[in-house]
Amino acid sequence: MNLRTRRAKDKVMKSLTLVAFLVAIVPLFYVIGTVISKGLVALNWQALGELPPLGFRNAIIGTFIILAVTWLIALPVGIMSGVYIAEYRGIFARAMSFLADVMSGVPSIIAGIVSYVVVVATTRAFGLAGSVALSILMLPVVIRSTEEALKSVPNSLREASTALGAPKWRTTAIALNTAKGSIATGVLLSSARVMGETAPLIMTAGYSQWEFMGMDCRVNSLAYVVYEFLRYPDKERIALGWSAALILIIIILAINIGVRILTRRKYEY
Amino acid sequence: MRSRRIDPLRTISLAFVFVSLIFMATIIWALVDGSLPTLKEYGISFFAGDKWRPSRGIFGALPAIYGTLTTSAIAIAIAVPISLGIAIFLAHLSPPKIGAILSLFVELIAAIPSIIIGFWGMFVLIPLLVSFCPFLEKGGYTILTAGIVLAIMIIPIIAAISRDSIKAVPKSQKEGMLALGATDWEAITRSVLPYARSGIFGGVILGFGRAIGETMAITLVIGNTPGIVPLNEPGATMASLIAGNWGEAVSTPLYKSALMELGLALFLITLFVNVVARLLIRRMEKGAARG
Amino acid sequence: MELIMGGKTKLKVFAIAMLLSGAFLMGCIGESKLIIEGGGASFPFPLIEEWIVGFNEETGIKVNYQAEGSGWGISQLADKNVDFAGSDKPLDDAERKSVTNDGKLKVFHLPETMGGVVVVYRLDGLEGKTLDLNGSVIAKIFKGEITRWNHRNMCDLNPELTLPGKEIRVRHRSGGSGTTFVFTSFMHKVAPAIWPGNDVDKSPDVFLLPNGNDVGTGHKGNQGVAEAIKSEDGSIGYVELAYADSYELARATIYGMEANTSSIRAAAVGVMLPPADGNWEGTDILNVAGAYPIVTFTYLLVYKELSTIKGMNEDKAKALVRFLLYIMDDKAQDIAAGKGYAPLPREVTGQNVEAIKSITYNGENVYEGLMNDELVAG
Repeated sequence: MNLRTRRAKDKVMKSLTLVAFLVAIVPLFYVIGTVISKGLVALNWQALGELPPLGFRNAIIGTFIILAVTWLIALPVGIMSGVYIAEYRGIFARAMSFLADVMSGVPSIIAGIVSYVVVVATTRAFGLAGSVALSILMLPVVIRSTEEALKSVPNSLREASTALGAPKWRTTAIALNTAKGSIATGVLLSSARVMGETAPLIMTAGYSQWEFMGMDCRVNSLAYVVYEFLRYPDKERIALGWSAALILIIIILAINIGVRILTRRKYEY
Repeated sequence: MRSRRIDPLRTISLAFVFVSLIFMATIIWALVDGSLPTLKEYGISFFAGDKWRPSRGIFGALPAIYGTLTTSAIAIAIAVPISLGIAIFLAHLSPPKIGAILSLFVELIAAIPSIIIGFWGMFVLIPLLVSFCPFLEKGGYTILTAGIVLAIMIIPIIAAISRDSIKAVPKSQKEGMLALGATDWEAITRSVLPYARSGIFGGVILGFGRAIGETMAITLVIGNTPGIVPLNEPGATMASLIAGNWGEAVSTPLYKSALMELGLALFLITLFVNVVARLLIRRMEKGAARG
Repeated sequence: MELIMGGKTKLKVFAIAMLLSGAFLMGCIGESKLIIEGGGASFPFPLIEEWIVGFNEETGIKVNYQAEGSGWGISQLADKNVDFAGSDKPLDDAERKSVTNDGKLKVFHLPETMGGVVVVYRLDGLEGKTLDLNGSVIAKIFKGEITRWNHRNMCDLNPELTLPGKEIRVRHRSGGSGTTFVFTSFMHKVAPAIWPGNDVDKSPDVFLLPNGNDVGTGHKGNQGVAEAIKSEDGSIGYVELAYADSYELARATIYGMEANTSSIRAAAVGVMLPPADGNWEGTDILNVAGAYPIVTFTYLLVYKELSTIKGMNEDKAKALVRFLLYIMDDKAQDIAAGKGYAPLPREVTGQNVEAIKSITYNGENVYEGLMNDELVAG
C-alpha cells in the first residue's frame, strides 16, 4: 500500500468511527423524542394530581416510597459491607468484592422471582417484596461504590486520625465522611436504574388504584403504570401511559445528567 | 494492639458482610428450591427438550435457550463494531473538550428504562423495520428485532468499557507507531487495540451478560413463541418466557417450577459470563494502574 | 477532634432518620386497613376499574384489582391471598380441587359480565368493506389450511369482495389466555373435524402445526395482538371487542353476525346455568342461535365462607358483599355496554344475587348482618 491509499484509509476509517457514534445516539434521541411527543398529549395537572384512572399521582409517590425502602435495606448492608471490604483487606474481602461485582449482573427478572418466592408467597407484603427485589439489584452497586470510594481516600488521612489516637471505627467514620459524595453518586445512579425496573415489580408490588396504604399492600409505581396503561384498550389511557413514561424518563435522566455534571463521574456497569 | 482488641467496626461490618452473603445465598436457594419439582420430574432432559408446550405438560428448555443465545449473538454482532468505533472516536479522535458530553450521550442510552425501549420498539421500530426489511415476511415481531433492540441497549456498556481500556493504554504505544510513520488509524488498530484487547473483550462479555438477562424490552418485541426457528421468525428467550407467563404459571406447580428452573439456568449462565467478564476487566484496570 | 465528632453525630442522625422513616413506612402493618384485594383475568379489568371507582364514590370503600391473568387469580385464591379472583374460564378439576381444599370449601362462580371475541384483520385495499367468515373457515385459517386471502372458501363466503392473493399472517396470543380458550372452544364447537377437542386450551401451543412450526406469531396480551394486526397488511387474529374498538381494527362478521352489545347479550338470554357453587366446566354460550357466536362469561370466584381468606374480618366481609351486590345491580351492569362488554340478563344476575346473599363469615350470614347495620343506622 502506498502512502496515499494509507492516508485515505485513515480518513475513511476515522469518519466511520464518527458514523458509529452517530448511529448509536440516534436511538437515544428517537426514544426520547417519541416519549416526549406522545407523553405531552395527556400530560396535565390532572394526570399528575389524580389517582388512576384519571392520573397517576400514587405511582409517582409509590416509586419514591419503594425506592426509599430499598435504600433502607440496601444502604446499611451495602455500605457496611463495603467498609469491611475496603478496610479489612484480605482474601475474604477480595472474594466479597469480586462476588459483588459478579452479582451486579443479576437479571432483574431473577430478583423478581426470588422476591416473590421469599417475600410474597410467605408474608404477602407486596410493597416490601418490591423493595426487596430492587435491593437485590442495588446492593452489589452500593457495596462496590463504598469500596471504591473508601479506597480512594488518601491513606494520610487515616494515618493522621490514627496518630491522634482515634480508634479504627472513628478513623473509618472520617474516611466515610470524606468519601460520602462518591458513595452518594453511586447510590443515585443505581437508584435511577432500579426506578425504571418493571419486571420485578410486576411480580411483587403490583398495581394499586389507591393512595399508599403501607408496604404490606400493593404499591403503585411509574414503571408499572407504563406497563399497565400502554396495554389498555383505550386511547386516552394509552396517552396517559406515555405521560407516565415521560415523567419516569425525566426523573431518571435528570438524576443521571445532574450527577454527572456535578461529579464528572462515569457510569458503572 | 489496642485497636485490634476492641475493634467493634470489624465485628459490625463483618456481620453486614454476612447479611450480604445471605442475600446472595437466598437467591440461589430460592431458585434451586423452586426448580426441584421439574428437576425431579425431567432431570437433565429438561435442557435437551426442544418443545415447550405447557398445556400438554411438555417443558423443554432448548427453544428458550436458543432464543436467548441467538438474540444476544445478533446484539453482539451489531454492537461490537459500533461500540469499538465509538470507543476509538471518544478516546482518540473526538475533540477533548466536548468528549465528556459526547460520552454522556452514549451512556444515557443505558439509563433509559427497558420497558420504555420495549414500547418504543413495539410502537415505532417494528412498523419501521417491517416497511424497510423485505426479509421480515412473517412480521416484525422476530428474534432479529429483539437482537436489534438488545444491540441498542448494550452498545453503551461495551463502548464505555472499551473506551476506558483504550484510554488506559500508555501513550507511548501509539506514539511509537506514529514515529515510525504509521497513520493514526494504523497506530490505533495495530498497537492500541491489541494492547487494550482484554479490557475490550471483558466489555463485550459484560454486554453479552446484560443481553441474556434483558427482559421487558425483549418480551414486548420478540413475539414470545418458543421455537427453534429462523431469525426472521418470532421466538422467546428464557427471560421473556418467565416474564410473559409467570402470572398464568403460578397456578400450575410444574409450570411454575419449569419457569423457576429456566430462571436458575439463566442465573447460572449470567453468573459464569460475569465472572469471566469481571476477571478480564479487573486485569485491564490493574494493568492501567501499573502503566 | 471536631472532624471526628462531626462524623459520629452525622452517622447518628443518619441512623435515627433511617429508623424513623422505616418505622413510618412499615407502620401500617398490623393496623386494620379496609381494602378489598382482588385479581386475575385482565379481560374484565377496564370494567372492574369503572365499578371500583363508582363503588368508592358511593360507599368510600376501596377495592383494588391486579390484572395479571386468570391463572394468577386462581392460584392466589387457592392460597387465600386475594379476597376474590377474576377468571375468564370456569375452574377445571385440578383447579377446583386446589381452590376448594379437596372439596372442603365451597366456591361460587359468579358471572360478572359478558364479552365477545372478534376476528380482526388488516387488508389494505378493502377498507370500509366487511369480510364475512364462518366457523370452519376460521378453524382452517388457524390450522394453516387456508393460507391465502383469496382461498376458494373465503371467496365463496364473500362473493361481492375481490380478495387479494396475499399470504394470511396469523396473529395470536403468546401467553396463556382466556381469550384463546374461548376462541378455540368456539372453533371446536362449530368445526370439530378441523379443530379437535384437545386443541381447546388457553395456551398458545394449540397454534402449533403438526410439523412443530407455529401457524403464525404470538403476541403478549390483547394489545400485543391488536398492535401487530394494526401494523401489518394481510394479518388476522382475535381480540376482545374492546380492543378492536380502541385500535379501530376491521372485524369480520361471523355467519353474518356483527359483534355488539345486544348481539353478545342475546347469547345468555334463556340460558341454563349450573348452581353458583356447582361445576361450571362445560358451561358455554357459544354459537347460540340469533346471537353473536364467540361469546363468553367472565367470572368472579368468591368463597361461600369468607373466614378462610387470610386477613379477612367482619368489616371486610361486609364490604366485599356490598361490592359484589353493587356489581350485579342494573346501574353497574349498564356501564358494561359503553366499554365493549354486554350487561348480563336479569336471570343471571338474579342467581348471582341469591348466591351473594348466602355468603357467610364465621358461619354468620354477611348480608343479614348488613341489613341489621342498616336498621340500626336508619
